[in-house]
Amino acid sequence: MKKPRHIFSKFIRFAYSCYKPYFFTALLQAATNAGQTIYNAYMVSLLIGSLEEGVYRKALLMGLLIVLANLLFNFLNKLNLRLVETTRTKMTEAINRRVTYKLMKLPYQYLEDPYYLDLKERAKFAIENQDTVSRFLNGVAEGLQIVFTLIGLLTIILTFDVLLLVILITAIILNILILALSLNAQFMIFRDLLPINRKFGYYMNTINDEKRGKDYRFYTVGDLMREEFESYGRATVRYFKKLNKKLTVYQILRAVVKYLEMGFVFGFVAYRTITERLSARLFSLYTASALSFSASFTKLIEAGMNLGQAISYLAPFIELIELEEAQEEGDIPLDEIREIEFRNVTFTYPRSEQVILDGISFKINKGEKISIVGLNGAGKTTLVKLLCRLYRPKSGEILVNGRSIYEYDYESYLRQISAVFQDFKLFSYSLKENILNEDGDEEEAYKVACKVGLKEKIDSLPEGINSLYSKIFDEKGIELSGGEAQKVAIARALHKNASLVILDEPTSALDPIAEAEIYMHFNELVEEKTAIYISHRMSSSVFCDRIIVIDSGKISAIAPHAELMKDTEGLYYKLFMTQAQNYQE
Amino acid sequence: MKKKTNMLKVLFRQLKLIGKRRKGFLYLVLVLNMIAGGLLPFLESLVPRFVINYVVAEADTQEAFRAIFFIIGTALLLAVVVEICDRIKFLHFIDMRMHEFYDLNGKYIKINYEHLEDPAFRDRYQTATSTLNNNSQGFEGLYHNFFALLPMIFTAGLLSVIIGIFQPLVLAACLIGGIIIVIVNREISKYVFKRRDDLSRAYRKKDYFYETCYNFAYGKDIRVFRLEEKLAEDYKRRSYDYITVVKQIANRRFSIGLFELLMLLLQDGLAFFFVIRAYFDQAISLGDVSFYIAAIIALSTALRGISGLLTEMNTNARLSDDYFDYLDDQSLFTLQGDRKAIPQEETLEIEFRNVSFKYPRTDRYIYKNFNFKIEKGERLAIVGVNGAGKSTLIKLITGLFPPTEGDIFVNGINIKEFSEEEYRKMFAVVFQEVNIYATSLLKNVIGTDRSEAAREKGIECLRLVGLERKIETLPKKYDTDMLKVIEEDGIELSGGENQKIAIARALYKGGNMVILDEPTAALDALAEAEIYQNFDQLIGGRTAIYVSHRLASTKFCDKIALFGPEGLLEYGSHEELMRLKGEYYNMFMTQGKYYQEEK
Repeated sequence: MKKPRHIFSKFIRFAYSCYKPYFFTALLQAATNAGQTIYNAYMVSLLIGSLEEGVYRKALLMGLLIVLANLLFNFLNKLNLRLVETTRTKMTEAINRRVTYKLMKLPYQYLEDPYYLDLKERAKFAIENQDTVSRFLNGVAEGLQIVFTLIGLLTIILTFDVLLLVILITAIILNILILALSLNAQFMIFRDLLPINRKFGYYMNTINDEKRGKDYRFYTVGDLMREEFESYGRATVRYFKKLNKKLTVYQILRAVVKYLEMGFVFGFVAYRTITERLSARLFSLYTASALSFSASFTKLIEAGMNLGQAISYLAPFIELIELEEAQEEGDIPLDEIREIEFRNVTFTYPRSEQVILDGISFKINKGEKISIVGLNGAGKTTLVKLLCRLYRPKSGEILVNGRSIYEYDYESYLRQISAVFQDFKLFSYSLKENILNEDGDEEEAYKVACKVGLKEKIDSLPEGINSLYSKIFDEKGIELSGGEAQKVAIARALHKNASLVILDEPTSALDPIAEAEIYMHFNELVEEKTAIYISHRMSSSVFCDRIIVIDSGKISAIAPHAELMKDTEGLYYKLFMTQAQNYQE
Repeated sequence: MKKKTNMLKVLFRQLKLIGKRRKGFLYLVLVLNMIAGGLLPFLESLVPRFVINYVVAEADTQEAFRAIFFIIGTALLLAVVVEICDRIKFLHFIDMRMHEFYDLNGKYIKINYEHLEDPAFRDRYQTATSTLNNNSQGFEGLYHNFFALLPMIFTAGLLSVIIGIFQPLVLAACLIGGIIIVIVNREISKYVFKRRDDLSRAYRKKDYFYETCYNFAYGKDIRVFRLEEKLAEDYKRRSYDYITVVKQIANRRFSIGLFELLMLLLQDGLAFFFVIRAYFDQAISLGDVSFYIAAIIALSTALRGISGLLTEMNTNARLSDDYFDYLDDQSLFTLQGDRKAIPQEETLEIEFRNVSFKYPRTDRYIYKNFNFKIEKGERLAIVGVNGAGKSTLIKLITGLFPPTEGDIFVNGINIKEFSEEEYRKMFAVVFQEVNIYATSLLKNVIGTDRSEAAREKGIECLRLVGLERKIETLPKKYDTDMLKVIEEDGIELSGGENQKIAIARALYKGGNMVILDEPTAALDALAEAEIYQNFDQLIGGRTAIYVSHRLASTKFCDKIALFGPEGLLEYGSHEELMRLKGEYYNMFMTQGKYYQEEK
């Protein structure tokens, strides 16, 4: 748990680096508002003073001046609001953009680590659900404004009597005491509110998720979720009820202090005014200043609490932005992958004991089509991630063209790899942009799309290959079936024209004919590139040159299909025959 | 076109709800708060009045102290009442909102399924329920608004009377000022409302990038395809578009708001003039001057506050109005029949008679004059290319969508005669998307059943799908919590394991008939074979439908129905279709080709 001071200064510096102008507008607003508050304390006393003098003309003039001053302040107020509204939005946007850019640059291993997944969710939720950034910035701006006000008012009060200040300070001390007592209860609310809201969010989103609608109509899980939601809701209300009672007591104590203070201020100033025959003007001035001072201090406490709450919510966010971006070493450019070698590679996921890859060694030569098979969780996809430099092996080496892959410049290395992952994602761009990864030549994209069997689909669309994928941006956007999306992902991978193509379960959503087309044209599609093919569909390993069989983290065999089938005790044989049996006549 | 919201009607309905939820004491709290809260500002401006008069009249301190004590004492009492009222209402308004949620969720599960696939309905539902999403807006917000409004009206009324007695012109100026504020706020609201589509569109477009980057599932593709810079650039562009709209709205707010300043000028000018003149006319004392200035400021503040609240209330009422419209909408349910489910021992035969079907709001018929029968105890495989209508068939059989024309009969009974709930009791379905819920593993299977027998049955089902070994390794075994969102020590299982849980769920339910939709897509060869082996056990003697791309599974089925874009292409047993040497034969040979070459 980071210290609040650290979080505060870190966030201020971060926000400042994102968008400086906001701080200037906040400063301006603080100064103007402080000025207005101090002026308001003076205002009535000025009028009373001129009335006491008894000159009608002068009194009217004073009235006019006061009215104009009010106008000016209100105008400045509106101006400030206008400025702050836009700079605050710009600030929030800048912060969001900076954070998301950072997230894209994080070392990949964080992205699959449950701790960081959770951290990310907590950070994001805190910002959104409690409008934390605004709260923080408001807290700071208000705090600044109040400090200005207090200084101004203090100078007035001190010209009267130190005793007045003593009364005010006593009240402040009492308030702080009460606050300290109630802090425990307050803190519990701060601490628990976010997770409570998150869980609420989960129940609400789950119960109202139309994709689960089918589940709910056939099973009682929907009713289960509702029941658990209701009991959770009731428990939460009970929890708040308890806290509520405590807080009410504190609030009442604060009210008592407030009115006692008011009484003492009025009483003391009245006493001095009457016994020393001071003017009504002075009475008005000092009581107004004192009460304004007290009110401002209360606001300061509240702003402080708001700020404190915001800071506690920001803790996961700060932890997130303090993560180091991936430092990709290596500076040798890579022109082509001619040979891949794993030398005794061992790998365990962070925070896990289970050894996924245990002393893996193999070599792949240029142009070979390699199939990797094994049971679920055997490490097939892990191998791919290591090759893509998403994770580092715990021990052993991965070499390309005889060199460790970490010696190559990251950008040029990745340019030589193209992948369709099992859980690939497409983006809300046009199909063309999804395939080309940039706003490029339509013809090119169309050619590749036809190669993977998308011609009919694209021709049927009104916008053709320029159709926007998904309806997020545009109601006219299109949805693709699982199989069609998979074809787009394959097209994307092929178009990149990298020397290594990796396909991880690329036909799982395709029907038999479409799948067969991919298999049949596989060699055409991939041409001379080196290819790694992972699939549960044992039939796909037949058209590959060699097959790597992974069993419990170790390589149990590397050989072409025919050879592996000779070992009737082997895992490969078992897997293959299990599926083949279904197609025997 | 959206109808106009009558804010008072919505408010009234929500107030009546208080009584319905048996929280009638809240009415008392509202009134108490109105009086106590309304009097407070008035009292606070009284103190200087008395004291200044005593100062001027050179009276003694005793009298001043007495006045102070009395007034402050009363104010303190009122403040305590306000505080207590505030605390009470805080809790109960939240509770009111929660109860709406419970009702809402209950209703949601009962609406016709077809609405769930309709994006227009989804939007409408989103909007309707957004009113319940937080403490400060919408449904709960309206209550808080009203609660704060009453004392302000009280104060304004009181002060209006006092100022009116003093000088009606000043009161008139204040009231005109108040009206001007209302008009200004309304114009601003209108403009904001006009731009709100632009704003939400701009927001959505930039938010897409925000969400995508935060979604770690996109991480691999972003890195491998080097999309960081492109996404960052596009995000920036959309972000600026959004800021532009915000700026335009802020500008309009500012320029319209300047009219308020005119009103301020008028009001202040008149107030100060008359107060000064009255003093010089000896009509009021110096203390009164202080009092009236304070009163005029307080009235202006109250009027401004009222206007602001009214604007908020309008916005909140609009949200609640959408919500109440949704609640009242009976068209979302079709009242079906009331026939009870066929007893579980009897399995089903399904018959389509002249069924035509197209999805609502589309033109293309998926089925036209379709006639088809599934015999009792038959195991039917449904295969075909994507988009051929396989899942539509399932939706029709399970009653999620009614046929556009024609009828579907189950054991000779038209399915329309059954009550929806009862009808669905008869089907155990495993869908393509596997959903796991944040509750215990066992409850994911047995749902709301609690008995010891239910637990045992659930455990047996999990054993049958091959999860026993995995579960034995878990600390809380069958009671282990799933997912991390509710319990931090919950677990996440692999895609294949989750699929097994879904199959166990179907097993547990029983049902008269089993439907499996691509249930082994995520499983490896051996796990898949395990499921096939236990197929018999899973299905027993019941009628079963198996939808799949993988023709291998069809060998376990009695009959196969092959669908194409035009409808049912081929129907028959595996042997019959192979002899036909048609589409099915084609697909089977294609898929099995690489396995055959081995021979």
